[in-house]
Amino acid sequence: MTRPGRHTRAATPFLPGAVLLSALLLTGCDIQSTDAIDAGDPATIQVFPSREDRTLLFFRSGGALMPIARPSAYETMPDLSNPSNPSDRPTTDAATAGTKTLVALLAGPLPAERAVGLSDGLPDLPDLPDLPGEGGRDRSPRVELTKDARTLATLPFALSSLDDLAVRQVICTVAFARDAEGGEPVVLRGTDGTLGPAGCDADIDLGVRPRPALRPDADSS
Amino acid sequence: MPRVLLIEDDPAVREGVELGLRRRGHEVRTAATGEAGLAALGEFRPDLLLLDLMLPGVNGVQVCRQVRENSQLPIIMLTARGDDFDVVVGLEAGADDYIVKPARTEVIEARIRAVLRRIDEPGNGRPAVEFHGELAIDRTGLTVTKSGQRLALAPSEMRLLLHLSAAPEQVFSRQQLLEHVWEHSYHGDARLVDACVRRLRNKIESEPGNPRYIQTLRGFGYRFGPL
Amino acid sequence: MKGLRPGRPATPFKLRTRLVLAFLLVAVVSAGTTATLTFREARNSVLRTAQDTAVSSFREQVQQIGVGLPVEDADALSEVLRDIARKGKPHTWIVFAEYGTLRASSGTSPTSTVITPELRRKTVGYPHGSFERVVKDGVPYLTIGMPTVFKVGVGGVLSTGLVLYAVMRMDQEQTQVDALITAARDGAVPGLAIALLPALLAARSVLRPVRELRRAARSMGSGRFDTRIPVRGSDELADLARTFNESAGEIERSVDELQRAEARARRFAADVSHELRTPLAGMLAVTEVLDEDAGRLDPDTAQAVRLISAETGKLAVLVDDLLEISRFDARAAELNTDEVDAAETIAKTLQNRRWTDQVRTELPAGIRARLDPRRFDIVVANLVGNALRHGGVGVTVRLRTRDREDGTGLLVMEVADRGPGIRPEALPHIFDRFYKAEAARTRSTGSGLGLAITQENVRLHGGTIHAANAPREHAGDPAAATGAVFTVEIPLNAGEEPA
Repeated sequence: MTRPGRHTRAATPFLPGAVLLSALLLTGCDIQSTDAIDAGDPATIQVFPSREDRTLLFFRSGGALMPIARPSAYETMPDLSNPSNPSDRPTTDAATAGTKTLVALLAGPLPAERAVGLSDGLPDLPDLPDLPGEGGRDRSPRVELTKDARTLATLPFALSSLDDLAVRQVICTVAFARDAEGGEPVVLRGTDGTLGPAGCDADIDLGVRPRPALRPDADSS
Repeated sequence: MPRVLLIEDDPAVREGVELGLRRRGHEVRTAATGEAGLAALGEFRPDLLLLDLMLPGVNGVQVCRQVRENSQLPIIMLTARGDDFDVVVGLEAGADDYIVKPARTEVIEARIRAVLRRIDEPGNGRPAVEFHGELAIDRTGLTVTKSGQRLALAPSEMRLLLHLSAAPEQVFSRQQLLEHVWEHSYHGDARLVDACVRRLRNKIESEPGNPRYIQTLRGFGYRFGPL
Repeated sequence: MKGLRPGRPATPFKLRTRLVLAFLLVAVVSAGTTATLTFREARNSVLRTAQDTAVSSFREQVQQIGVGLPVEDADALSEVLRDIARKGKPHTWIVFAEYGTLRASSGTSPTSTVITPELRRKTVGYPHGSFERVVKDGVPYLTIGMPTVFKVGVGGVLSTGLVLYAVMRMDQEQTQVDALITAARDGAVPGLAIALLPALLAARSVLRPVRELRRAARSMGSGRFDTRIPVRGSDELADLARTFNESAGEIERSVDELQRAEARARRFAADVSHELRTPLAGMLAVTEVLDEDAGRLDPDTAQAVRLISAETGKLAVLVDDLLEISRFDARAAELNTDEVDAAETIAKTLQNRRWTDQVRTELPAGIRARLDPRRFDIVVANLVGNALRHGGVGVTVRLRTRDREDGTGLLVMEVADRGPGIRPEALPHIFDRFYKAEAARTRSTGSGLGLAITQENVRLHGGTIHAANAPREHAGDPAAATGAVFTVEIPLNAGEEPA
């Protein structure tokens, strides 16, 4: 009769305590799984060959930009440490080195590189000219410095056929050929117009970086 | 006619009882206090003492004891109902009977007669003096000696002893003793009997706690002997 | 009192149990919470230390390596990984590497089943180290994803595309955590056991006043109105005790007052009777004088004198009865018992009253009973006298014995008459004082206390008395159609074991 009521009354103040207690005890004991949690900087490692002796090409693997360090011929390296050769005065050497590197990129990964899953993601060039300036002058891939000190890379295909990663592969390869920091903006000129100028920013995630707008080739001459 | 000394403090009772008894031919002397009563004893030489228990000064029980020290004068107590304790004390002090007030004169006189009545003469063929153990009971002379020593027995004690010893080894109930010894009704106060037996035993028994002559038969009454 | 009894034993236990449980619960909650929070903090500290050590030491180890790009030689890479794994802190790791489609590890399998897609996604697409704790098959693992970069130019870095993972079993941390749990439990459980003692003491201190209150209430219930409770402190229970004491005081005062008033009334009746007795004693002694001399007076005076004489006698009886009653009321009535023959006792009563000829008797001889002869005489005389007055002829006194349920022998006496009987509405009051069964009854007979005194005397013997109308046993006899029967039952050994 009064029994159930009394029980309810007696139990009420105990209830929150009991719930709290059991909750605490249940969450307590074992080691729990976690989400993936940030844990500081990445590891900085040595890459061979060292900076002076390599040429960086940017291929791709699984949607990520993959730098490749190939030993470079000494004579093709621009002498950046020479103060008598200011960076705002583009030299033929730098442009030549850039052209070589671009051609190497367009040639695609070597068999060993392909073996570990690298690819170039660029259109094949069956009739790639051996040297810049030779053959179809307008369509041959090359890197040159424009009058206003910009780095201009000319590609023998339409830019609109490239995906975003491919655009960055080209920009980064050209930018790192131009200087060691890879910080200079690069303008791309394809058969369908120009793109850029844009920086390499290789560390920046693709998704958040806007692709430079493609413009009709107004001042091509 | 017997001479009665009445000690009673209440004037109405005193006068009423005196008047009633005198009408019946008793010679009555009254006293209002115990002291006056004791003083009148020697001079008046009553045959019987009517004694109110509740007295100012020397009370009835004390008067009773003083009288019993050197006299076997019959004593009847006047008590009020409810004074039960006083009745027992009075009986232990040696009173022979008691009357509850208020009482009609005929009742009072009947008690007086009963106490004063002479014990029946011994029947035919009985010797005047009977010997029971150390006791010698002289029914004619109304004396009792124990080992030649004369015992002073109050009237009720004498009557009780004579009644019981007349039929040795016969059991008498208290009611029977009340009827025959005290001439009370059958339903009278058995404490009269018990008190009298105690007093008698104190006088005749060598060991009152282990009586030889007056024996108790539990649930039935008393008997004399067997020795 | 009767209603409370069945529930009584359970209630204090319940209260005590609840108090102890509440106390213990508080102890459990506080001890448990403290233990749990402490434990969690300690556990997190253990894990954080292990994780931080592992991550920073993994990064440190990885930074020791140098690679060519692209990474082409899986065997050489595995060798490097094994070297890293050996230097694992705080425990050895299994190290995995991913580069393009290349997979290598320090263990037997080039890929791990522990590393989650989530960690890989986070590590590959994002130039930061990450870790994730994974529990697989009940075993906790720490997995660390570490992308690698290399320096380009002054201060610039570039992702190499090589990602290293370390997988470390957290067995030892689990052991430490288990140790913490054990420590918490070993601390909390004896703590609770110790808490039981103050809990019991606290419950006791709360319940003691309750127990005292119960005892006091019961004591009050059994008539001890001077019961009080010691008041301790100033809490609610002390208030309750104080209230109880005040109420008890009020009750005691009221009861005292009632009892004093009743005692006063009774003493007054007794005193009046006492005072009446002395003048009556004088008057009664001289009534004979009046009776005897009345004949010589002139008729009017003689009539007056006889009236006074007669009424004095009745007054004496009335006063006597009143005194008797007041002694019963004061419980001063004594039972002076003797063992008697019941038939003889009744016969003597009838004989003394000269009723033997008017009363038919059935008195078997040999029934011995222990009773007060004087009081039993009053009982018999009152009942027979009453029967003779109201029933006229045909009064019968029967005597017999019977055994009560508990085996004690009872003396049964019936006094029956063939009178008009008792009116049913009068039956319950027949033994009341001064109750007149017949409104027109003349007061010339009895004091009006006869049956009341009779009843008191029977009760004093530990017996009972009933009044009833006789069954119609003689249908043809109109005189037997009605008639009252009074039945007295008295234990045969009333005197030996006063009830």
